[in-house]
Amino acid sequence: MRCATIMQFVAAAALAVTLCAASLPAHAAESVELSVKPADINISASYRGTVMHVEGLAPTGSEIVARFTGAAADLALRQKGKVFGLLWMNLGTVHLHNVPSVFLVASSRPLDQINGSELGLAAVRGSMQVLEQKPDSLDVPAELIKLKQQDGLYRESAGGITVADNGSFAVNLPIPSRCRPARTRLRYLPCATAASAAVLRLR
Amino acid sequence: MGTHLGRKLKADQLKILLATLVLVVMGKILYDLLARPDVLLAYAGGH
Repeated sequence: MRCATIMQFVAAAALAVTLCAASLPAHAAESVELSVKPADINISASYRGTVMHVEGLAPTGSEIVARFTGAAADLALRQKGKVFGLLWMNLGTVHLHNVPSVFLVASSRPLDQINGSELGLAAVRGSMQVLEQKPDSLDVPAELIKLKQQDGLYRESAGGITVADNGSFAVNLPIPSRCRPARTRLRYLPCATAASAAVLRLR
Repeated sequence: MGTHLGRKLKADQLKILLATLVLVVMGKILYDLLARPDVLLAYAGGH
């Protein structure tokens, strides 16, 4: 049974909204405004997921990437293999380090078109570590991403974000029902990337 | 629904229906064991 308490947010989530543009002014990050609804998500017995709505105003010409990530933790998974060369069964245990519980990314354009590949699932793949696994050639990070995608906990999609000519944008981010209850804080974390893009993060 | 169906069907028809059900479940279990899973990892439980 799910936790029936009202939590401020879901899954120790960090919602990052990233703005990418080829040439943004240095003060662009400061001019971004954001609002997130709902601020509270009630995870009760009848909770079946919800849609998080983010609105904001960004410098014109920006591309928007919204990222909803859960707290990273260690994870133990069962690895499947063949027994007697015939039957597929769970054989061993794989231990992983630094695995986000949730990782949802939505972008106004495909990430590879806006030089934002490192903001997507490739970031998860690069950050997690396989601590212990059976000596075989299984690509554990790729299989983990597939497993989480089946549950709706990992998702990378282009679309779902509307950007107007004046820079105002709206993001509808579906939050899956399997998120764990947790609290998180929202904060702005402006920084600049090497590609002179302004990046603003809301955690 | 089961009671309603049980009244309409004869005993031997019910037996055939239940036997079919068992065979379908058995076939599914066998398929899951023999076919390569889409994902070669599974959540570990019981810890």
